[in-house]
Amino acid sequence: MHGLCNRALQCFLCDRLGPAGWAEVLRQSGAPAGGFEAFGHYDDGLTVAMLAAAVALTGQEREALLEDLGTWLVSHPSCEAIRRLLRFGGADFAGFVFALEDLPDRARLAVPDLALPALRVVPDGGAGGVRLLVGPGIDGFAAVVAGLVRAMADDYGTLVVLNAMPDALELRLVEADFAEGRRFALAG
Amino acid sequence: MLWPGDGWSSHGGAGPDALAALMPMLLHVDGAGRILATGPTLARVIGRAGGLFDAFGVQMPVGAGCVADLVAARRLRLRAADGTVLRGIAVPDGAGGALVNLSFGIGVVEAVRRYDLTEADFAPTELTVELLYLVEAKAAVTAELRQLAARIEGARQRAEAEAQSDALTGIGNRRALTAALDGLVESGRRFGLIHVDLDHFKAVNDRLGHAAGDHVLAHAAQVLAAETRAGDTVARIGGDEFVLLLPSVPDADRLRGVGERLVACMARPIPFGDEECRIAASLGLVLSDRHRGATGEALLAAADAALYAAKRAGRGQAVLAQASGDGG
Repeated sequence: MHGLCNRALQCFLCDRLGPAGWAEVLRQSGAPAGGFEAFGHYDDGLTVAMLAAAVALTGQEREALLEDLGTWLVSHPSCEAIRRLLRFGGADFAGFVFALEDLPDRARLAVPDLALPALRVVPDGGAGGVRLLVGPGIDGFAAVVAGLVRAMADDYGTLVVLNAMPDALELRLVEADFAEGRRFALAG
Repeated sequence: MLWPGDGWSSHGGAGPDALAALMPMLLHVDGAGRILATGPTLARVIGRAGGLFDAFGVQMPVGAGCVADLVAARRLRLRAADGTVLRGIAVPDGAGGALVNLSFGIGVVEAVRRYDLTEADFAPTELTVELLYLVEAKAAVTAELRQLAARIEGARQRAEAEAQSDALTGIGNRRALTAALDGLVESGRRFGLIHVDLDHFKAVNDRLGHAAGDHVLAHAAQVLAAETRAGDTVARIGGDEFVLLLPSVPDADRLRGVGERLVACMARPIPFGDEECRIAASLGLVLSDRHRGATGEALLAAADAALYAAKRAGRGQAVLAQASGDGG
C-alpha cells in the first residue's frame, strides 16, 4: 500500500480515536511506531490489520469507517488541499462526478507511483442518475469514494441520493442548488 | 483532405485552414451530427468517422441525443471508441450545425503516446507541452526525493540498530533488552528469562589482559546467541552480565534444560592465542507465568536473586527463581 494511503488512514484514526486509541491500533496492527512515511511503500496486510483494529475499537462496520475516512478527507480542515484539488474537477457537482474518471491520472501526475483504482461513470438506466464504477486494486476504495462524494456534494451545495455498493456508487442528482456550497476559486 | 472546405468559407468567417491551425481538435458537424470536417489532430483519434454520435459516446451532458443537446450544454465529455475521453464545447455554426472544439485534458499524457503526437499537433497557444514538461520534470524530481527518503530511512534504521546493539559483542544492549522485555510483558505471553553472569572472568582479565577478556565476552555472546531462536533476545547488560529472553520456551523443565546446556557450554575452555581461558557461568532462570502481574523490572530482580542463589551454591549452576505473586 502506498504510504500516502496509510498516512491518510493514520491521520484519520488519530483524529477519530485520539492518541490513546491510535496507540492501541499501532500495538494491535504492528504498524511502525513513528507512523507512516508519505512516500514509503508498505505491506497491504498492515492496512488490513489497522482497519481491523479500528473496527474493533469503534464497533463501527468496516465500510462505514471507510466512508467516514472519505468524508474526513474532504471536510477536515487539515485536508483543505485535497478538497481544493477535487474542486478543480468541475465547476458544478455533475462536472465533478465525471471528472472523477480523471482522478487516477491526476493523482499519478502528482505522485507517479500512486496507483488508484480506475473510476468510470456510466448512465444508470432510465432513472436519470449515473453509476460510478470503482475498479479493483485497493480493497475498500469504493467505500472511501462514497464518503468523499457525499462530502463533495455538500461542498457544492448539491442534494444527491447516493447508494453505495461494494464496487460501485449509484448517484442521482435531486437538486443542483440545494444549499449554499463552500466557496472555491481557482486561485487558492 | 482532413478539413474539406465545402460549406465553410460560405459563412464568411475564417477559412478552414485558419480554423484548423487555431484549433487542431475542431470538429464541424451539421444539424444531424454528420461530420463535415475534422481538425488534423482530432483525425488521429477518430479517423474518418461519418457522424459525431458514431465516433463518440456522449458522457456529458447525460442523455444527449442530438446536436442541439450538445450546443445547449456548457461542457462536453465525449468518449471515443478506443476509450480516449475528450472534453470540449459546442457552439452553433450559424447554419443549424455546430463547431465542437475538443481537448484531451489530463488524458493528453496517455494520448501523446497512443497517437504518437508531436508538438506540431497542438496549437501553440495550448499549454499541452508545458503540462508534459511538468509531468516529466516532476517525475524526475520525485524519483530523486524518493531516493533521498530511502537513504534517510536506511540511516535511521542503522542508527536505531546501533543504538540497540553492544559494540563489543554485536548482540543487543540494555536498551534492546528493555524494549523487548517491555513488549513481552505487555503482550502477556509466557517467556523464559535467563540472567547469565560469567564466573572467573576477572581472573582471565588479570592473568591475560583485557584483550583476552574481550575475546571471552565475544565468545560467550556467540555461545548464548547460538542457543537462541528467531524471536528470542540476547543482550549484554553489563561487564560480564547477559540476559536472554526466550518466548519459545514452553515450561520450567525446558527452561532448566536450556540453562544446563548453557552452563555446560560455558565451562569449555576458550582458546586465546597459545593460552586457554577457563570460565564458567552462573544462571538465574525465570519463567514469566510463575510471576503473574510482575513488571519487567520485577522479573529481572527475581532472575538476579536466583543468580545469586546459584553463585552461593558454588557457581557454574542454573537456579530457577521461586514463584511469586498470585502465580502460585
